[in-house]
Amino acid sequence: MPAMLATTGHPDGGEFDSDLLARCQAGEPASLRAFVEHYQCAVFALLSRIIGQCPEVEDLAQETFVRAIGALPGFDVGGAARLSTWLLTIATRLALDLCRKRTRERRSSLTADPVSAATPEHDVQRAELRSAIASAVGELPDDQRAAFVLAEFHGFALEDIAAALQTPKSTIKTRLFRARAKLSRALAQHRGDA
Amino acid sequence: MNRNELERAWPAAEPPPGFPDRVLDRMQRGPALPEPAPRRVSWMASLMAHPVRWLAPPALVLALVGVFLLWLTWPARDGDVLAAEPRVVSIGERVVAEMSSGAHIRWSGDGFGDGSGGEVQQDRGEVMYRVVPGTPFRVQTPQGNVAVLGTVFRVRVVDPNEAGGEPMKKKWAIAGASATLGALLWVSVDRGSVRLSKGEDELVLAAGQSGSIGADGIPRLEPGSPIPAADAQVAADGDAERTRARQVADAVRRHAARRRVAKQAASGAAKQPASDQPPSAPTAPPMAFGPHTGSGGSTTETPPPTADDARRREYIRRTMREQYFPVAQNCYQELLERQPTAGGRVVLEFAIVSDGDAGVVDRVEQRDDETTIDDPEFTLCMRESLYTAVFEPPPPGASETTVVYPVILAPE
Repeated sequence: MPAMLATTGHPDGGEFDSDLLARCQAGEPASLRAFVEHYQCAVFALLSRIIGQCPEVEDLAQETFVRAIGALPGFDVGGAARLSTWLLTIATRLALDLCRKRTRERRSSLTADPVSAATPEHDVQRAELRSAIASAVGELPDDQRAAFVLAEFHGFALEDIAAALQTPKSTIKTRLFRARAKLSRALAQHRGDA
Repeated sequence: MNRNELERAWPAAEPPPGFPDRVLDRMQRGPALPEPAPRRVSWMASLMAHPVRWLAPPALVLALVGVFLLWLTWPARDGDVLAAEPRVVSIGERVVAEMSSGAHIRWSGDGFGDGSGGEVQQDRGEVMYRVVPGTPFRVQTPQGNVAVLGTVFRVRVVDPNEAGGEPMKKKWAIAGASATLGALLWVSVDRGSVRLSKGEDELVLAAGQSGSIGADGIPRLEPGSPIPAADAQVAADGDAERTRARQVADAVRRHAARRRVAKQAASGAAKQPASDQPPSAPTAPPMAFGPHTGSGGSTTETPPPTADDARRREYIRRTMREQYFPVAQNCYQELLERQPTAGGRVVLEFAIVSDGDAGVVDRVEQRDDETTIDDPEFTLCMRESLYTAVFEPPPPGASETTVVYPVILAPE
């Protein structure tokens, strides 16, 4: 594989090479594979944090990339939106569509695995912290959790979150405030109990 | 906790091996991948080497003029646009559609090219249309139709499969107090006028007015929709427009509340405890109230009220009447359409938490043991509507203010 097609696949791998993007828009399979490899980690991370770690994550990730690849020829390279923002917006919409169809009981998949008595102390503490955070964010309404994940893990600006969730910026501010407040309370409680 | 710590504390799923292959396989099984475009040889280099290259600039200018003239006379083509992000689409020469992310419109070129007007099918999402005056133009949606004659207006279509879910209803409630919960089609007119119709039912909306069609298929004027004296110059920017709509709706509600008080005073109506609403509107006897400084749960025992507590209690009561009652009245009207003699008591408990300079509603719950109206759709409407209210923030030293608010409803 030529060096120019090598990708990190890391969420912080930066924006996609513009030359490769042009080839993707032309439909070149090798470039499309590179596109998927470049953004797959970020897409999986976003989806698993919004809908929980479950089999649907890969289904939605595939759907995200299929839709994105289909719409790539129309993507305006010189426009205001970054490719990563555009792609993760598609993933977010699909995740929220799934959340709306689910029952509340599915949210239990967001909690961490139970810790056995034989686990080392620091692993127990880390697992308990994960459980506290997962429980706190799992109780958030879907739109609040999505806004929180987009802001904290993917660096979305307020207006990008508003566009992704089709919600006014003032409402996004409120959702982020509530999500952060809830998480702070959960962490404070965890530290108080520890 | 910074992002790295948060990522370690909340790990995410990793893509499994072979994932890109599965994506490309799925693309192959679905619509065919486009053929790779052939690599283009640099045209500039070949042109500069040509013996008659001096003809290139004037030839280029003539070609551009020709294309421009052709574009002016070319009939509008058929179109099918699904906006992955906000975008502007020209439909023929007399219509411009500003599409929000996720909006989907389709049209046939017939009628748009020669200026005789045409029709757009809007399947979902929000689109603002700018139509040259004098152009017959129609927007067909799954929920109803909009016919215009030269104007600027906004159409929002909601998928009925999504409209029953809580997040969509909450989104509507937060977006604006004037938005009718459960609306499937919502139209707002900036300039000119439109006719909103479904079947034989129709409603004409003028500039500054909004209308909607719900699951019952009946076009309705939005509550708080102002009576226009002239075209409202509402900014095209979404935030400014919503702020303006909310200000207008607030002004109308305050004016309507003052008229009701004056009317009751003039008619010598019997005094109603803790209320200035007519019998069919929600009423509220004195409410339980208390500031809360803990990390969760509500307090039921509070110290003797101070003067500041009394002021704050009266402030919350007044704010609820001004902001919540009109929206709650819509919930009650919808309940009366299903159960004409419905009435009783709904007791809501909620927290007011700080959000910058404002206090926003959080954790709205219903006290089931004290609530006597048993209609899930109605009580959900009452709870969701409360999120539209905005208060002053909790007093210094308090993380939140917990409010218990009973509402009594009775038909006229």
